[in-house]
Amino acid sequence: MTSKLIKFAQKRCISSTPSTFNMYDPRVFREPVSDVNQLAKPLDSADDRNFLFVKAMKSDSTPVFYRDSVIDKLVRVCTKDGEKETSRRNVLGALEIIKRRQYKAWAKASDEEKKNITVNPFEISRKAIKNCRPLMKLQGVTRGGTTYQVPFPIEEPEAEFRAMKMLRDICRARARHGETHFKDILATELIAASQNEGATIHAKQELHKTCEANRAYAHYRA
Amino acid sequence: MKPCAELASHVARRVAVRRLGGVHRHFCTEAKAESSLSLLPDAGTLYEMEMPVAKQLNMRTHLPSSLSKQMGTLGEVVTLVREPIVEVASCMRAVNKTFPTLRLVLWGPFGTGKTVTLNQAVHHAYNNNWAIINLRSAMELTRRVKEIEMSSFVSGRINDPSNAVAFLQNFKQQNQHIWKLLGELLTERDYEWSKSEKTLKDKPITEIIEMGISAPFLASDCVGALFRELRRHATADKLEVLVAIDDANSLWGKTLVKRADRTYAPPSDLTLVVHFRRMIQNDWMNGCVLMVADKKEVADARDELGVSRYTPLELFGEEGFEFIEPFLPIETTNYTESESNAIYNYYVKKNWLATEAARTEEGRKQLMHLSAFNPFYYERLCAFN
Amino acid sequence: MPKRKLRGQTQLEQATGRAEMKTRSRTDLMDRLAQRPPRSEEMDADQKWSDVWPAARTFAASVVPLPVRMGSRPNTEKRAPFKKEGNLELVKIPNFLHLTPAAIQQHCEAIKKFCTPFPPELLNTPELAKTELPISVDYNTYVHQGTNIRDIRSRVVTMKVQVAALKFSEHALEKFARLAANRYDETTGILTIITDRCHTRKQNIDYAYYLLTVLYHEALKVESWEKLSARADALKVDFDGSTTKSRLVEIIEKTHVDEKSMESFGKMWNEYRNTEETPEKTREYARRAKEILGLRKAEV
Repeated sequence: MTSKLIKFAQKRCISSTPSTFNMYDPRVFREPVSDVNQLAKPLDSADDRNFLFVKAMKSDSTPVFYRDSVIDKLVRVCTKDGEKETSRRNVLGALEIIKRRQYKAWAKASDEEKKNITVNPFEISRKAIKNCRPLMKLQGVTRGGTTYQVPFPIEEPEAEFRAMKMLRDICRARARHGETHFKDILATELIAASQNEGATIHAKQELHKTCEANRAYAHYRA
Repeated sequence: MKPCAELASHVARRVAVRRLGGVHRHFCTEAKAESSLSLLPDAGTLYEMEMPVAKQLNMRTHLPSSLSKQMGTLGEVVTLVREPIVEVASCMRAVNKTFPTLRLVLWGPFGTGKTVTLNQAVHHAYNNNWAIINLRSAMELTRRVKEIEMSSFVSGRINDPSNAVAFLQNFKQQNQHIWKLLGELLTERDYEWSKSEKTLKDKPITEIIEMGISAPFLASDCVGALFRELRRHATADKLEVLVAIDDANSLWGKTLVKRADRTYAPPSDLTLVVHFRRMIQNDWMNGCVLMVADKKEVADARDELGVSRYTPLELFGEEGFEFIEPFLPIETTNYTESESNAIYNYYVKKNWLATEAARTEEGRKQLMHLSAFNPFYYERLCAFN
Repeated sequence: MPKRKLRGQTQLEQATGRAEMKTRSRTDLMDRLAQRPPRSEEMDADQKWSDVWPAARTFAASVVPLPVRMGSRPNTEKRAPFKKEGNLELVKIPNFLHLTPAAIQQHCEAIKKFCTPFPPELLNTPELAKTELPISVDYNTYVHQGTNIRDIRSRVVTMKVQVAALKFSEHALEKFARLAANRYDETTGILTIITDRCHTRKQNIDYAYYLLTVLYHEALKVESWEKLSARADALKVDFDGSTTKSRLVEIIEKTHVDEKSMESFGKMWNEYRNTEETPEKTREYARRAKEILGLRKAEV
């Protein structure tokens, strides 16, 4: 069933439209350079950045050695009320918890098993988000007064976002009582998802089932 | 202590005086046999405490939370020997039965290793068979008092049964290595705890401890009696005592204990605080008091603009400062490059730095500078990398 | 009836010459301009500008001979800013056309006969002001963009006095410091009085002088109850007579220690307790404490 979905998704690709309006005038502004090594190199004299402005660098893209785009995106998705510092603390705390659990397992394992256990929390969370990515999304299309849930194909950035959003909502619901902290729950979920288990994977599979069930509405895609 | 096990005593004698810098102008006549005192390794090397010893000394609760978690994860307690502990160890060697107690105060900015140095000193005392009086935080006595009882011994004083029992249990656990010696030390007089409970003269002082643990309402008085006996026996050169109090400036700070007329009690009204203050006083010999001056007591979370100082006079206040004088302030500072390299190499060896990027030269340099050489933030950065 | 003059009526008025001629502004402006060019075009390049614009005045486009433009528009590339004729933006902003360097020079020349020259000694050595002119009075005047000349802050007066010039005795200086509280800074030796208690600046200056006079005379008085002061009443803590010294003496009488090191410790202790505590001072304290307790590090 999943292979049919994949084939379906690959056939119908919507052209990705970039955002229509940007505050930065594209004729006047260029992207900033985040890489430290590239910054040290002088600019080519023909390069138009000699004459044009450069966009402001976001606080997310400072060139620290542990910069990871997936983790940064997860921090942004988990931010609530604009408190990015709290979200960062939670996500990096979850990474620490993952590392501690994996380290303990690694230390206990025999030399053969040691090769299979990853201690790197960034790798595990990247794998987890990758496993949680849905292949299709459901969008409501209204026809004649009724709103049908129609399956649409999905781009990779959006799929990543939806994976993180599912993960975040599940973790928030679990942490609501206040007994366990958000970072502990997030850590458990990420470890489980990297093994293709857990509530987020389950939710993704439910989504796929609903998409499959609503295949008939696919011709409502206009 | 693993690194020192290799140091044979013939090396110890030659090296001891030079390395630990203990030319004692006033103590040369009473110098202890160098080989009997266990030595600390050099400053800048890593220093391991064996797990059973660490468990006995209750390091899990006494170390700061991040290092206590490391203890669980890595399965070993490894800390860096830095200048402050070398100074503390040399001062401990200077302790003498003819000299009043030496008071040391660890001060320094946040995250530079005051509590860690305190615990290293406790371990050093354990290795040298000293008695250890270790209080996890004086703030627990003044601010985290669950239930109070008015003292029957002195009117107006407030007893704290739960903290007293917890302290006595901790004392018992930490002093198992000299429990027999403590059993041989005898009480000076009869102690009448209440109408029915009594400890007679010439009984081992371990009985006071057992009495306090079994009866919470007597525990605060038992702590006082225990301290009195320890001071007496130390002055009589039966044993040496290390008094290690974290957040000691709270003994002169703010309390959250309410009296009957709904005002906050001053710390001098709490029995445990009074007993600890008597222990800090230098009217007894053969002891070393190690205190930590911590900003926790004076820092106000709601004051966004003010930055409080971390120097001893500011933290102890005038009254506390005059009480602990004359003392020796020992500063804890941020890491030097070689110290952070030592920690870095240790983490790489233990496979604690899991990411590829952290194990590169760029990663090593960035870890040092992003943490601004602060030990606490260095450990926090390495925790998720 | 309609509310207008009917055709018959207007015709009558035109015929008799009593009709109201409606003036159209644009054509009128053009008519007038056609008659005579603006003054700015007839000005001489060597004229005296201060005669043309002697005082502060709102901008008049016909008088100012500069090709000034001002205005915002949607596309800056496509259009220049608006010209000065009929430009309200130029009228709204303050202009300083009355303050050209030549005009200011003229003003200064006119006032000069009422002034004495600035003391050359003070020009050469500004530090003389500390001894020769110990009192300085500061106040501010505020200018607003609108027509308002009032600002409540202009009555605030700051008076700074070099207290050394008052030549106090030790007792008087201590009493002065107690009375002046945090207005007196002992590290710089300056008394700062900031008043806005009265309504006008003059009254506040008089009040500041009054306060200084009162402080001076009260500091010189010696009351009978002053001799009751004990160690706890002193402004500073002294090493001699402190519990620290007695404890140190007890500890050290067992071994010999020279008076000099005790003295130097006392001096350092006084400075530590009575001045701002810094980490460097604490390190100095640690060094001295190690010395006096006999825990000095060996010279390796």
